[in-house]
Amino acid sequence: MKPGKIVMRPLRLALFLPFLLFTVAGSAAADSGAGGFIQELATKVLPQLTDPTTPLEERKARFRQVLNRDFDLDKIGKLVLGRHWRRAPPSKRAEFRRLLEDYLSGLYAGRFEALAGLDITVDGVRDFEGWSMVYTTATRTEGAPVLLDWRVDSTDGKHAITDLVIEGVSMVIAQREEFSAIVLEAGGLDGLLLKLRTRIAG
Amino acid sequence: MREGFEQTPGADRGLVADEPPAPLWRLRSLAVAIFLACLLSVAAPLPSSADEEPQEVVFSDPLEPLNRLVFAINETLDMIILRPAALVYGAVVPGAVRRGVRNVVRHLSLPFTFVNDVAQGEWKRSGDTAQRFVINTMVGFAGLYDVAEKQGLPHRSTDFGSTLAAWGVGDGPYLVLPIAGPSNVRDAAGLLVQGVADPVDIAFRRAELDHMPLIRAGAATLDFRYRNLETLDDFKANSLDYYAFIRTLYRQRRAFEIDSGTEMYLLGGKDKSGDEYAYPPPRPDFSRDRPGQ
Repeated sequence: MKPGKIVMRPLRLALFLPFLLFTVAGSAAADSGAGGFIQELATKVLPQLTDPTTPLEERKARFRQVLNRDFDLDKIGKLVLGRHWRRAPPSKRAEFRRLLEDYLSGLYAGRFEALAGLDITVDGVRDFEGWSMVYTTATRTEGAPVLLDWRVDSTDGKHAITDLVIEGVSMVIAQREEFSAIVLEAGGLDGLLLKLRTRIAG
Repeated sequence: MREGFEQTPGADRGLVADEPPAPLWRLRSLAVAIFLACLLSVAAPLPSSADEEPQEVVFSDPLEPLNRLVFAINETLDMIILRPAALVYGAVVPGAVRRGVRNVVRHLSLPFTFVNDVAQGEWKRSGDTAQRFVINTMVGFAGLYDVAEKQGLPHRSTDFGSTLAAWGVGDGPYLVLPIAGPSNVRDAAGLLVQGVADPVDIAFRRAELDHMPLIRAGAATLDFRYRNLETLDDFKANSLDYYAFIRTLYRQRRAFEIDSGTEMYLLGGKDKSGDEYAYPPPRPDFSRDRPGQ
């Protein structure tokens, strides 16, 4: 096996996995635990984002709503910046938080189609202190099933997604590695903020 | 591999640099020994000062400048040779033939997979691998058709790097190999061993089919590149730092396959039963009885 092959399966999946991110984020009404939360998002929100009869702009707007409601962007921001977050002044943190939302929205908006027909089944849930891992399998009409694990933080019965692990690859860790490399190379957080702004501006 | 909770926590840390790998005596290749020595000297990444979550341990990439250079060269080669070749392959070669190529490439990897299954003490898996090989050889026209998959024996791969990991060898610094791409010291050593120990290549050479190993490697590479055309294009276009993105993908994926978890990232600490966990925590194996299916 050449080592590159290891990357192969998640790579293929990863193309549409990010879409899943969006897909599954939806109504927060489920109070039957984190598993029910994810299952409900998958069955109710995914179709809304992939429905081709809804204009793309509207779906993008919906996705942003989902991102804000069912994902804990504040926490994700902290996690992906790691130590750079702790060192950043409040103004930079706020700017990063805003850019992250724009960046993630834009990144996944073009990928909704890939999510159409996706069926997400909850395999099981493992509870940790304050959060749970919801293990799911995503199947499509063709191609191998994809293992999708959701880190769901729960406070006072309110659930919010804080990470998505695709075939063993944590998006938070991946993003943190990438952001960290950019901060190091640019010699500071400003380099990352600039890069994000440039990317968002297209 | 994915045995879920049965894994001994921290059994395969990849961070433990001071334990001599027990099976070192088995490795005859001097090159491997050198690699391992190198690994033992530089493997351990250092934790950063972590006062609150997330506790971070930075992945070891002391060779980053060199790695980035090799990565750039690989990217160039990919752009001018491999990617165009994969595009042509997809456009010209019929799907049935491409599937056949893929099946044969995977089939030929099974004997060495079997060796590694046994070396890792994975008896059940080694049995599955052997069965799969026999079925597809006999009924699947020497691997051209994947009959075994339909009989509940899907393709699984492992490699000598995973075997070294199972023997307790840490992964060592990240490496980008010329042409072969993302790796680390341990997996590169595994690749060297595979180069001399793959039973199919040995058989080819014994039969004086000296060009066959190269053709086989070429077909495997083309198949891999073809199947990842869209994915890699997307990653390249959408990542902010492609090198760093591929690096984390490789490392996390590798940790997942070896079932060591990505232990360098402790985003938590203990689960409700008080057991320490790595993050992401090992995935339980739901494949046999999936609830609600």
